[in-house]
Amino acid sequence: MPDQTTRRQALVQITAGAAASAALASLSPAALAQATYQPRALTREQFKILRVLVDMIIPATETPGATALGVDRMIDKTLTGQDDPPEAFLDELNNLVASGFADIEESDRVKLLEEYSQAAGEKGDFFQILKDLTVDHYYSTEVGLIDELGYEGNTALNEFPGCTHEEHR
Amino acid sequence: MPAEKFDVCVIGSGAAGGALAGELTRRGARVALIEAGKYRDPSKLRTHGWPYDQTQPVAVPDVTADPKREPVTYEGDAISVSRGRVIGGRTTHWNAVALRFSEDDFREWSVNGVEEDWPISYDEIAPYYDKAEELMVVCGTRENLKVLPDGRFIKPLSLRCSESILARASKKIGMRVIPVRKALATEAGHGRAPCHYCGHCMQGCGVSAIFNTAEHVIPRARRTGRLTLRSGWMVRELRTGDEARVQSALIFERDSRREEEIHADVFAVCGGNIESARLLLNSRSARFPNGLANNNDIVGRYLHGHITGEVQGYLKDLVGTKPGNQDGALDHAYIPRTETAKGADYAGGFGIQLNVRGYMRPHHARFVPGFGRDFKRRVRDLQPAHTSALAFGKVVAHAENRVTLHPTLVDDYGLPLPRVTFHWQPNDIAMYKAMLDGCHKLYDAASVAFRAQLKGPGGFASHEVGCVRMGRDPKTSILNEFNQTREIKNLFVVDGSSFTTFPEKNPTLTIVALAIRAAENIMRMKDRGDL
Ligand SMILES: Cc1cc2nc3c(=O)[nH]c(=O)nc-3n(C[C@H](O)[C@H](O)[C@H](O)COP(=O)(O)OP(=O)(O)OC[C@H]3O[C@@H](n4cnc5c(N)ncnc54)[C@H](O)[C@@H]3O)c2cc1C
Ligand code: SF4
Repeated sequence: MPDQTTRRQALVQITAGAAASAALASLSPAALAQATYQPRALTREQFKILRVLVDMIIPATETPGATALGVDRMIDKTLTGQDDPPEAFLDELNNLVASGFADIEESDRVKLLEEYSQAAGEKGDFFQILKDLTVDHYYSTEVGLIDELGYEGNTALNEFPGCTHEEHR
Repeated sequence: MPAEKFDVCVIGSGAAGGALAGELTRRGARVALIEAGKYRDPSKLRTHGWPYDQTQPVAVPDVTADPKREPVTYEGDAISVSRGRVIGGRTTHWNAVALRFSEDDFREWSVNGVEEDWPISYDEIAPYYDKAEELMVVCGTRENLKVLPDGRFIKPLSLRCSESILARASKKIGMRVIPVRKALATEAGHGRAPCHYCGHCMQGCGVSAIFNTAEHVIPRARRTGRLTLRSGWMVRELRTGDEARVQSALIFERDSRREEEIHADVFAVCGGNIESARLLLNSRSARFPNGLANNNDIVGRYLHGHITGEVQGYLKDLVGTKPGNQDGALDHAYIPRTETAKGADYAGGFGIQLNVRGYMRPHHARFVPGFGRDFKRRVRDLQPAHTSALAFGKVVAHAENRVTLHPTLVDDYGLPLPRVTFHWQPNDIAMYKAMLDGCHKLYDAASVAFRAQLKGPGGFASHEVGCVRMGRDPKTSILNEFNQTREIKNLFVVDGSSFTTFPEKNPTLTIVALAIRAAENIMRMKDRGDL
C-alpha cells in the first residue's frame, strides 16, 4: 500500500534488507577505514557528516564503532538503492553541512544530537531514520552480531535443553 | 484421442490442496493437481546464512506471488494478504502453530450472539483433527482446556528461560503459558528429520522438520500412480456448459502462456482464500454472469483474518546475562485465550505467541532511547533478556469486507487484479486494545527493564479466511457442510475461504482437517453417483 506508507516507513522497510549491503562490507575493518570511498547517494560533504553521526550513535568501545565496520558506506549504498530518495533526511544532512557540524566542538555536537534525539517532527524523524539505518547495519556485521552482542546461534543442535534454572520457575 | 478425464481436479497444492489431493489419491481417485508455482528444493535454501556473508537477505521471494507482476490492490484500512506460488503453497514457509478450534468456536451465534454458527460442530470435525495431526505430526502437551482442545501430540518443545519466567508471572494475572503446539518433529521416528533448533522456520525449513505438503504429502500421493501434478500451470477459469456443472478448467503455463483444458468429474478450489474467490469471480459465463456459485453475491464477502498486536519486553531477571544460544524453533510457548469478561466491549478472545521474532537481531536497538556508549552498552545488556508477545485476536466476519475483481487493472497474465476492501469494525478495535493491555499486564507481572510496543494493528498475519464461506443460511453462504457449493454440485472450495467464522486460533490445522473430511465426502458422493 505505497499510498499509505510514509517516506520514513519506506526507508525503514528498506533497511530490513540491510543484510544485502552488509555483504558489501566484506573488507576488513582496517582496510575499510583506509579506503577512499566515493559516496553515490550522498555528496562528499553529506557523507562526511554521516560518518561523524554514525560514530556518535555507535562509538568504538571494546568493539569497533560504526565507521570502522563500514556502516557509513552501507548506508550510502542503501540510499543509492532507493526509488524515492528520503528528501527530509537529505535536507537535514544539508542543514548540518551548512552549520559546520563536523568541525564544531565535540561537546556541542553531542548537545545538538541530543536535541535531535528528543525533537518531534522533521528533526526527530531524521534522528530515527539515522539511528534505524545505523543499528540495522551495525548489528548485521560479524563484529556487531557476534563480538558485540555475543550471539551464539544459527547452528544445528541435537537437543534444545531449555531453561534449567530453578529460580526462573 | 479424447482428453484424459480425471476423477478430481484440485487447484492449489498448499495446506488445503495438498492434503485433499493426498487423501483423494490414497482413497483411489485419479487426481490432476494444478499448481501455479514450481518446486523449491529445501536443501538448497540458505537458511543458515549470515546477514554479512551473502548478497541477498535470507528470504523467500520465489515462493510468493510477485507483487510487481501480480499485485493486489487495497482499499480501506492498512492490512495485507499473503499468496503463495510454489508447490506446497505457504506450508513451505509457515510457522506451523497448529491449534484445534473449540466447541464454542463453531457456535458464535449460539454462545456469544455474534456472527453465525458453522454448519458443523466440534464433534463432527474432531475425528478429522485426529487425522490431520497424524499427518502433520504436532508437538505439544495435554492441558485439558475447554478453550483449546487437546490433540494427538508428540514430545513438546522445552521452554526457554524467558518463557519459564513468563509462565510463572502469567499465573498471577489468570493467564497460562503452555508449550506451543506446532506441526514440527521434535524427535526422530516420525518419517522426517527432527528439528535442529536453528530458528529459521519462516524462511523455509532446510530439513523439512516442519510439516510441508510439498515434502510430506505430494511425494506419497505420486507414489500411488494416481496423481498428475501440473506445476507452473495456473487455472485461468473454470468452464461450465448449459448445465450447472463445471466441465473443465482452462489452465495456462506461466512461463510459456500455453493453454490447455483439464476435464474432471469434480473440481476442488484450494487457491488460498483470496485466489479462490478470485477464480470463482473470474469464471463468468452467460449462465453465471456474477461468477461461479455467486447468485447471492456472497463470493468474496466476509473476508477476515487475525488482528495482531505486539509488544516486546526485556525481562529484568535476564538483563546482562550471558546470551547463550536461544534460537530454538522460534516460539516455544503459547498463551491460550482467557474467558472474556462479562460486560467486555468485544466478543471473542486472543491468544499470545511468545518469541516468534528470533534472536539473530537486536529488535530493541531501534527503540532504546539515546545514542553513544551508554546506548551501545544498553543494547548489549538487553539482548539476552528479549522476549516478544505477539497477540492474535478474533476478527468479526463482516459482509462489506471483501475481495472483488479490479474493474480495469489486470496482472501480467491478463487476469483482473484482486481488489481487497477492508475496514476494522468496532469489535476489532476494542479487541486490539484488550490484546495490548494483556501483553502489558503480562510484562508488568514479570517485571521488565524495557518494552517496545510495535505499530499496529496488523492484519491478517497471513491468516486470511472467509470469502467463500460455508454456512447454514443459503442467503449468507456459498458452501454446505461438505465444502460443496450449493449452486454447482461438482464444485468444492476447501481452503480457509470456507470458514464461517474465525476464532483467535491459527487456521491451518482446521484447513487440513476440513480437506481430509471433504475428500472422504467427495469419494462417498461419487460412489453413490451423486456427483
Ligand atoms: C510466514 C507465515 C507463517 C505462518 N504461520 C502459520 C502458523 O503458525 N499456523 C497456521 O495455522 N498458519 C500459518 N500460516 C498460514 C498458512 O501458511 C496458511 O493458512 C496455509 O498455507 C493455507 O493453505 P492454503 O492451501 O489455503 O493456501 P496456500 O498454502 O497459500 O496454497 C495455495 C496454493 O494455490 C496455488 N494457486 C492459487 N491460485 C491458483 C490458480 N488459479 N491455479 C493454480 N494454482 C493456484 C498457489 O500457487 C499456492 O501454492 C503462515 C503463513 C505464513 C506466510
Ligand atoms: S528450527 Fe527446526 S523447524 Fe525451524 S527451520 Fe530450524 S530445523 Fe527447521
